Amino acid sequence: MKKVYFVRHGETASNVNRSWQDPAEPLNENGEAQVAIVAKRLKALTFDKMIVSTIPRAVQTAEAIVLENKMQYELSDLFREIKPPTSLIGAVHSNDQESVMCKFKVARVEFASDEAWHFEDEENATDFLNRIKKSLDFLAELSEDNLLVVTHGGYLRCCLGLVITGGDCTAGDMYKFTNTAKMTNTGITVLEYKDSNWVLNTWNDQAHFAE
Amino acid sequence: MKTIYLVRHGQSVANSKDVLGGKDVLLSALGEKQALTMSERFSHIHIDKLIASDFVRAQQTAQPISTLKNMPVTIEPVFGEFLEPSEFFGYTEDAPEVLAYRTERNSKVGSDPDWTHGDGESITNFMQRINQARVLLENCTEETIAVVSHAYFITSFIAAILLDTQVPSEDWFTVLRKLMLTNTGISVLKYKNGEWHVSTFNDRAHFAE
Repeated sequence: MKKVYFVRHGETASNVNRSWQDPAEPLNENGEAQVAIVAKRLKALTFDKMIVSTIPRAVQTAEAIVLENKMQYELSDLFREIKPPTSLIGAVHSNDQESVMCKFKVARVEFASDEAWHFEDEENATDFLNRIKKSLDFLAELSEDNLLVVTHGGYLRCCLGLVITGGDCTAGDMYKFTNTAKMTNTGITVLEYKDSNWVLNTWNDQAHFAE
Repeated sequence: MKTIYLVRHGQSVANSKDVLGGKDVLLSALGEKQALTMSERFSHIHIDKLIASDFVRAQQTAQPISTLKNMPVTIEPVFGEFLEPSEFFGYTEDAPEVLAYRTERNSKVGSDPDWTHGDGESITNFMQRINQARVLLENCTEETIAVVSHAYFITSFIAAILLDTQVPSEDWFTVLRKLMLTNTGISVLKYKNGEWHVSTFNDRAHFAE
């Protein structure tokens, strides 16, 4: 049986002020402290392989983990966060209905079933779902059984949608999970793959921050 | 904002033998140990109220938290497990009779949600209880509540939030099987501005891997 531990990256300034982050943005001070804590927690586990999103905040998180765990990792674009429209990078996730952000979010749900619809250069729901399916297939096909993946909140919520619907998550449904499933920075999510099925074993375990 | 800790009971005697059981099934020796270990997690967590279903294994699991917190256990039957027909109690999970019953049960969700077998529960009744439980928690004056409940119940409660529905989809029992809940696994839900969110599913960090 295959078991995959997913770790969300540590906190960034954009996570705090709830804006769409520049891919180059590093972890903030709190994020650096968080990743040191989760790295210690992961010491109790053994992994055969570690895969990391190519976005710097994930790589920085991975570096803290390998510092404690003496592992090597490979980078993969499959585990990157959903790509936002370039013109909205830095914009706050506001509820102001007049904001471009708000209008974009309404439009992307409205046009979710239109595979070709793009506001700009972003990944739309169909692009994103297809990439995540590809990433899950990639993990399923690996010969190693104990895997660690450092990735992102949006990626994981979409994964959850795919797992719970057995792969039938529609592009429109995907955004539901964005609203109802919450993720903490460095939260640990565990998926198992057995009998050709993905199942959720844990969502966003954050016990390393003793409540 | 309300925070709800949904805890699955510890291993029951029925779980340890992989058989079906009713309300009176007790925790196994391992289940009692798990309950005690899990309760220590609550030494760092403030709760205002402790609820258990009316099943003995849930009340037994709540007991160590009750002792630790010096807080009574409020029994709420609405959090009880999906009731399977009593004629199958003692049968293994993969007994042909159980498999046949479950296949039929699963196939009826969409076409005949009031279907029951013997004294078992219908999916309609079960989902009504899920909704009642949600309203009960929304109306509690307490902000932070721990509830000891069961696998079908907790996974259904969470699936209903994630899929944003109060009506089970045709493949409801298949959906539930995608959510693997461990004995004494802790799930955390938030209720804020009229909306429910899933914050954690099946945290079992108390059994340090």
